[in-house]
Amino acid sequence: MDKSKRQFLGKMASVSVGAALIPVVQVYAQDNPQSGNAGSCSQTYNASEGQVGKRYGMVIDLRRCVGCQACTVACTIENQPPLGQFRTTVQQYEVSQQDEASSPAFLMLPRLCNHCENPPCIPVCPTGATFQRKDGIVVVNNEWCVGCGYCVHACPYDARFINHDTNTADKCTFCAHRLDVGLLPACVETCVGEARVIGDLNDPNSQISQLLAANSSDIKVLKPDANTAPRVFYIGMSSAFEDRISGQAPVRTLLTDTGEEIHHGH
Amino acid sequence: MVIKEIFTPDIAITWLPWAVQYFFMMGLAYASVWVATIHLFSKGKRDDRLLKLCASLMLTAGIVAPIALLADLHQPLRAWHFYAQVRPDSWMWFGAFLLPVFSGTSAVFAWLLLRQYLPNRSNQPNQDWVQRIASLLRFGDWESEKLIKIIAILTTLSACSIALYTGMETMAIKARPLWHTYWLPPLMATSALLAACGTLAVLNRLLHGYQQATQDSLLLWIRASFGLFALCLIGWALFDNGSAPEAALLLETSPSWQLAAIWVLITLALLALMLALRHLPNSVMLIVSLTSIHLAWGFRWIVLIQAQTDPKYGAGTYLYQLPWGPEGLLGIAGTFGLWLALIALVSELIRHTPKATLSR
Repeated sequence: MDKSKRQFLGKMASVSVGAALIPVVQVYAQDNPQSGNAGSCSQTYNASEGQVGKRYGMVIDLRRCVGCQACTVACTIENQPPLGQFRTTVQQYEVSQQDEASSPAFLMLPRLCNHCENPPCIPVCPTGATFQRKDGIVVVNNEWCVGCGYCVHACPYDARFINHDTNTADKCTFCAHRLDVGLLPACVETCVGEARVIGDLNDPNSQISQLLAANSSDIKVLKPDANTAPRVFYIGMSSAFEDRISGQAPVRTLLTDTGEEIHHGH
Repeated sequence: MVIKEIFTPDIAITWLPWAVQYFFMMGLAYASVWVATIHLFSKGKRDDRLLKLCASLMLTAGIVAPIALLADLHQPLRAWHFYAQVRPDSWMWFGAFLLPVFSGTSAVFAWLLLRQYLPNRSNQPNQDWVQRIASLLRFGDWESEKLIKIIAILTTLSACSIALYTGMETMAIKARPLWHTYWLPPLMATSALLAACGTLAVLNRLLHGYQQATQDSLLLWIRASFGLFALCLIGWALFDNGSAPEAALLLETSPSWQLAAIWVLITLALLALMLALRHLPNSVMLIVSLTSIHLAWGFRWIVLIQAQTDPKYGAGTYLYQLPWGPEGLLGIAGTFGLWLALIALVSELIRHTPKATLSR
């Protein structure tokens, strides 16, 4: 065997060993709370500081959302919340006019933390475990959180929950751990219709800023009167969905430990 | 436009029944401080029985309440984090400082009121072991009368701070329109007073040494606190423009809220009817006391647990089913069980009758 062929095979071997190690590295990243949850320091970046000078926001173009829940699944795989708890979901509504002749339309409403400019969840926190990074992302230091649930109540969007595994407050972080290493959030990455766009609101040339400028007459936020200044914007949303929905509730069900369904009365 | 929710997640409650137990027990503790102090500073013959019952209640409920609060934290061992930084925007953070102050002052106040019922070591040579422990707790044979009024004022201020912070902590949450009303703190405080007077009346009957005069004055207290609570409730229903309309909305659509409203109205009507009687037989007085306790506890359940089933964005209500374990029924039963054990322990320690009382 000549020298160059031996070098080539040697390099191939190291590449394949490296490829085989990728899943191990990913598993380590998931198991290591410091890399998964902002608020703790890692060696490469200061997760609690954020990216100075930027202001992250998200635009969700409802005209492009088909309600496939790929974002819900991607987020769940990325962030591993307990079964039945979600950092993002796509809520689905049937909308019809008063006259019965017209056929109903469906609205798919992706929901996540709004990373508000004036977040009501932060001042109520009695320990300072939840805070806003310099790039506007609202995060929880789950090693400091006492699990009092006060922030869960204070959020007007039901975006927070007490994680049943960690017993601390949990929420969408815009996948800050991915953004900080130059990746897109899992939900944005996976969206089949490219309905979710994340970017720097401070940069007028960013895709999100241009999208906001181009659709300025059709931009809405949830609960605009709540004085929270959300940084998740919706394109193509009816004003009927801005505030609390006045409509008919679904039949909700609960599962018992044995998997039996308990129906609610309405 | 007609909107039907097709697919939305169900959201679990965050504050567990432990929170109801905390607000209820804390209410009993701070309201019994109020009753004792007002009695100490009012003219007329001093009712030692009433003071003894108040002291027993503030001591025992004051011990159980913080335990229930710790249990409601999902990370109770991290409670020290409250004290590791300054968070002046959070009512809960202030509460973390006000609560230990109240625990301390109310325990001292209760001890000063109860000291005279702890046996003196030198007076009784043939003491059993309970009496020996009780006499040790007396910490010497000195007169505590001088200190009582000063401590009473300090404890009452502390009790007011607890009533204020527990009410405001809940009221401050704008995202829950049912809570976000200035009527909530007075409703909490007046119902706490009602429950405390009801509990004192039950204790008067339950513990050895029943006094009719004490029961009569407690009936007055119950009448007054029920009147105040009912006035606050009417004020809320008539003048509130955020929380009351939200409740009306829930009443229209939710069977569980309709049931709650029927329960509130029936309980209020029953209590009002019984309290309207000029002379209450002992049995009716007992029912009045228990109904008062029931009303105040149920009010806290509706405010703290059922209000969490009110969606912030969606239609209808979320589901809640009381679990059997510590996060549900066992937690409720355990808290009451602990309180019963403590009240039994206190009543056992203070069974001694001081000579001063005998000669009176």
